[in-house]
Amino acid sequence: MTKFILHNVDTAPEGSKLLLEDSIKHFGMIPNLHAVMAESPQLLDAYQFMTDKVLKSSFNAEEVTVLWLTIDVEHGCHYCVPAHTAIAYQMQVKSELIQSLLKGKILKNPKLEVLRQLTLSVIRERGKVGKKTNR
Amino acid sequence: MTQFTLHSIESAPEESKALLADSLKTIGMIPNLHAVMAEAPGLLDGYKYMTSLVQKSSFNAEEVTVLWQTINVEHGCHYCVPAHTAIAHMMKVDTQLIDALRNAEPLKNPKLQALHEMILAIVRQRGQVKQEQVDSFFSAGYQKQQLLEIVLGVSHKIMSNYVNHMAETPLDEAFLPFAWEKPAQ
Repeated sequence: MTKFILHNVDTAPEGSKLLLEDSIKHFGMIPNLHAVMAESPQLLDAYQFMTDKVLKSSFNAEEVTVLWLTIDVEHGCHYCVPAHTAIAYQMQVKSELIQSLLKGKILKNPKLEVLRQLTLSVIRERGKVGKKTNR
Repeated sequence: MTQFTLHSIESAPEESKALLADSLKTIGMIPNLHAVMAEAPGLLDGYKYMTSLVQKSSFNAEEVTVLWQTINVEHGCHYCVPAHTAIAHMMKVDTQLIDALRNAEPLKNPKLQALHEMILAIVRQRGQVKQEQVDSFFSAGYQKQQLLEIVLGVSHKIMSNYVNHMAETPLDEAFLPFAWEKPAQ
């Protein structure tokens, strides 16, 4: 395993200091993921920016949870699955939905299940969905 | 194939208008990729912002070209390979390097080849890379910052490569001279 530094505002590269301060403001702490990403200010910046974009997308809290947790579970991410479970509870998403996503089970709500299936297809087929033939 | 609208500033959703106006100003045209992405303002905004972050990373013009084109070629993106060929030529990158990347051939420069292999491992193994792969990347002279910046580049290109697969985005006239098909494996 590559040893990464868990950066704080003092140890982080100059370009990451403000970003980590922003994390503290939002989360009340520096999540270890941000602490690791801080080694590359551009990656941390992009990640925070994209988090905000997903939250402002047309998806509601349940749909965002389906999007994030489906990907986290599919990629087998030991860090993001717990983190997004916590986030989902904070967003008042129903426990039953969260638990189904954690187990990779079919979702009761057919619209959310369609979203889950398409999310999985996009990942597994690396975006090559909706094509009659492979290019 | 899903029919996507190639948005203009007029047809685009409200929040995409300024983003497309910015593309027009900085690129001199609205690339069809941006025109398609405009349907989701958050995606277009994210994509453009990440383009600027990759350009501000620690990678030089040759390395950024290796980063972008390795991913584009691996994903078989009919739109991004020509577009980034044009961009690489604008950045004065060596033609031999550009062609090797397009043809999925080994790179002559060993440091760039190590970068190329690390990128391929991250894409193919979805981030679950082996220690020896990371070790050989580091022994080529790279560090953890660059490992993370590959993740930035992969995230950035997934946005465009996947959208182009779904939309079968038509090539812009400017990129036609660099039309490309995935070489037979």
